Amino acid sequence: MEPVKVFYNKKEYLETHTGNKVCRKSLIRGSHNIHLNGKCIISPGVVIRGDLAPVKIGKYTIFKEDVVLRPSYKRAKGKLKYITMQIGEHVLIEEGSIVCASKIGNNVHVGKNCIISHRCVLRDNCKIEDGAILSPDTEVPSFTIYGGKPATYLADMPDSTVFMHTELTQGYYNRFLPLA
Amino acid sequence: MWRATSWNPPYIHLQCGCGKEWGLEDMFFCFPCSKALCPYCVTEEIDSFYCRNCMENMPNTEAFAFKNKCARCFQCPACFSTLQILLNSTRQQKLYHFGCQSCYWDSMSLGLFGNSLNELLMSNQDYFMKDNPLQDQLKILIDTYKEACRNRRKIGVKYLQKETWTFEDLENSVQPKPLINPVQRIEHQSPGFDELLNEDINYNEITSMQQRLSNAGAQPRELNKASAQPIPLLTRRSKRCKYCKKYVVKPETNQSFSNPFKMENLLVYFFPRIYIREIKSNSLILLLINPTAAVAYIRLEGDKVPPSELHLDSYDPVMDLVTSEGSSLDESLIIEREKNTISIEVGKPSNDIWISAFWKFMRGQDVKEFEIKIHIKLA
Amino acid sequence: MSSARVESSRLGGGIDEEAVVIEIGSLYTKCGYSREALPRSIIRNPESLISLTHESSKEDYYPILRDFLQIIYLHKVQKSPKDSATILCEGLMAPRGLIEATVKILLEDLQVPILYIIMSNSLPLYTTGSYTGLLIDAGYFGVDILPIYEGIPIINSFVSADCGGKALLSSYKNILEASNPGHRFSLETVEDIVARLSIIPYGKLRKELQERPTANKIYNFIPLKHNRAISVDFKQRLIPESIFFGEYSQDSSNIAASILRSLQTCDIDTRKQLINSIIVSGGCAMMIGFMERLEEELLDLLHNEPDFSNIKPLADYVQINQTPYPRNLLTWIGASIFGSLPGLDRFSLNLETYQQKGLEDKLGRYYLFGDRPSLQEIYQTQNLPMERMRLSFIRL
Repeated sequence: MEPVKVFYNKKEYLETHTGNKVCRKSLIRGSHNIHLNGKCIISPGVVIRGDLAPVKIGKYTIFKEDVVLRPSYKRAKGKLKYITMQIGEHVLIEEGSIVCASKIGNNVHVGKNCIISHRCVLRDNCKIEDGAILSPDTEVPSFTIYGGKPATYLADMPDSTVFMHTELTQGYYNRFLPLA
Repeated sequence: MWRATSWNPPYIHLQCGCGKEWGLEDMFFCFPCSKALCPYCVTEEIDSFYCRNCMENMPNTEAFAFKNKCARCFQCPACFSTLQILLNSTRQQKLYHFGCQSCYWDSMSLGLFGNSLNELLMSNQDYFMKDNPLQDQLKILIDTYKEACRNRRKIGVKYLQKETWTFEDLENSVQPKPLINPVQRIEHQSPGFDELLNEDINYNEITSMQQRLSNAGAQPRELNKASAQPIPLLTRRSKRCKYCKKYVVKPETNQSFSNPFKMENLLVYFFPRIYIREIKSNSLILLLINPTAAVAYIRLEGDKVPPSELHLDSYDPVMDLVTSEGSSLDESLIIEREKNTISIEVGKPSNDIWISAFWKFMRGQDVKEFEIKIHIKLA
Repeated sequence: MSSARVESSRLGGGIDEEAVVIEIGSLYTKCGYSREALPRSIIRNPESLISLTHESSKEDYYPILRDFLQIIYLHKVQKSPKDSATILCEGLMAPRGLIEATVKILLEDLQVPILYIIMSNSLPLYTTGSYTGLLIDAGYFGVDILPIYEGIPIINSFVSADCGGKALLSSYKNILEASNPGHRFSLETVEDIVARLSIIPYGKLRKELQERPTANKIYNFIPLKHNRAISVDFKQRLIPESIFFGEYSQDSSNIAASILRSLQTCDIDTRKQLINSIIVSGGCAMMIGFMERLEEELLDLLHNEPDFSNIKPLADYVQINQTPYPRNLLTWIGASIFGSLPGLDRFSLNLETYQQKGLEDKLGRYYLFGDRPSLQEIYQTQNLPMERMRLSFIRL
């Protein structure tokens, strides 16, 4: 079936000149530390903790409702040091997930209600199933599907999902239109 | 095996030459044969191995020597997630040991710890040499049978046709023969009734089947006796066309390159994606999206579809001007044309529709053409 | 023919190279390389494969096995199917549709160069180093008893009893669902409970249970793949006893009695050697107390039952073989040893032969469901001299 258009209330969203659509109801701390590269969608309820460390987000990323982005930390000489969080392009993070990964690559699909713990590294083109809990320091290789509690390798992704996922995120952005 | 094809109606599937139906996302395209291939029509081969934790690439021979497991990374016996090397420093000494981040299992109780990283890894190697007695016993058995094969060939018929049998010979032939390397019988004392009643069993301390079978040699019954196993390696695989044996998909071994494939001939790049826009009582409106970088032509034939040749533009209007051979012959099917998509209306005889499509497209200087059947199921 | 023989010795499966050894059991599939002591990977069959039966045809098995065999080759054994020979173990009582679909997929779709098909019932004998033994395979499908004497399987004495893991798990499921109302258990959950909690009483425990049959102890826990806690009674831990070692006088299933009945049909001069070398393999043999109870039961029946009075003197020679290998993997390990011995050619099958002749019935249904002729008649119909026939059976 053809994907449908999603409409939003124009008053609720801020649109920047680079095409980012940020909802006013999202809780963004430290906005000077957060860099959005363009064409991102940030839905209501999203929490981004830029006050802890810089957060760099690539283009065409979509954060659905109630996602929490919190940079991870390292223990150095008894003190906590927060490290920069990097998110690549075409990343889709679905409702309710808590993401504390240190690096997320391009074309990643994170499912609903996932918990991605500190210092995790998600490489390009991977998928995390709904409800997965990744333990700290996990490294997810490319073209794999991880799921379960705790998350382990489940299966390999078919090669074409890269293209389909890119189309999914771009298409979602293009169909995210304001109510006239 | 995770496939992208969905079997929940309404769906649109393509029929491969071998007769099986697959979604567009799972299929490949072979250029020399000019044919669309389903996953069963490509043969998969293994190119290289890598560890899912340390991402280290291993060639075939090294992987076989390590039994297709990583040399440095281990997994927790309880939850199968990767083990971290933790430092437990008390005033007397610093101890390195393995620990799991998700279920808090640690290797101190098993005796796997060391004063330095190297010592820790060495202590683990000893632990894994426990397989060797089984392997030695196997070698003895193989040699015994090989020897016996040779002897039987030599003696063979003569043994059966023994001329004179004495009573001692008969007695000897029915006596049980001693076994090679007989294993000592271990007498298990049966637990008493009261002992069993008073025993406090923690269900989670007994291993499940999966935890037992991950360690095939020991198959421990208690979780505190289970040891850390090395992580099995994952593979990078390439696919070849079954008919002409040329590569269809070939992955890149070096992770740092931006494009993960050396060669990627997926059907999504060459055949239009078809979506159902609207289902009316007598007809269907389909949306076709041209993925190629030049003008392409499609001719549809089906039950309630009048044969007509349509053209689809690419997303680049400059390429359209350069490559077009003229517009469609028949514009009656087309409802809407926008950038590289067209919407067409086809008749709906039933909930199960078969349409034959002849697709002609250009890649660089070559013009490729192939036929494929489309199966649309609505309910 | 001669070119095929040269090719087979070059491609392995006998002397030089490692061959891939696959044993598709009823519940678990073991896969690995020949000449190695343990399989690389033991995986549970997909649910759709477990639920198929003897009546299912090749077409039913085909779609499930196509993906499953590809996973085995590319993810578990991690070898391209085209690169080396494969050894496939076929059980005597395995469904015909399974072996037909497997051979078709391996030869036509996965393009295995040479396939060796061997009968799996006699493979555990290779782990002992001798040629004589009474092989008992207690698996999920049932219990198979096959005596082999000096390398020749005594097919007339083959007994296949229905009391295996399948009967155990289904009766366990009914009992648990009755005592825990409102719960529905899957096969995997019941298997997990059996594997962790069940115990077969022997020795002192058996005597004490006969005096005090009731006990009041309940275990509460959350089993695998289940979301609520259930309770299991102490008595329910002892259910396997009634499935495998039921009361002989009440004509219930008893493995020891089946063994002795099979032994009674063997020739008199073979019985002493056979009962001296009892080899037990299979997943059910891994339960706590199974082996000890089996030995006790054999001695009990030999001493006390009038039906077995003619073999009573054999009680002094009862000996169950001890192996250092885990019992549920004995068949696979036997196949691994077998794969490194010379002379595998007569079991080979390649694509051309398969397309011309199809899958031949080596022992097949003729022996098991029709009138079983004696070995003498087999030799005459096969037109082979007796010595050749005997050597060929050595591999069965």
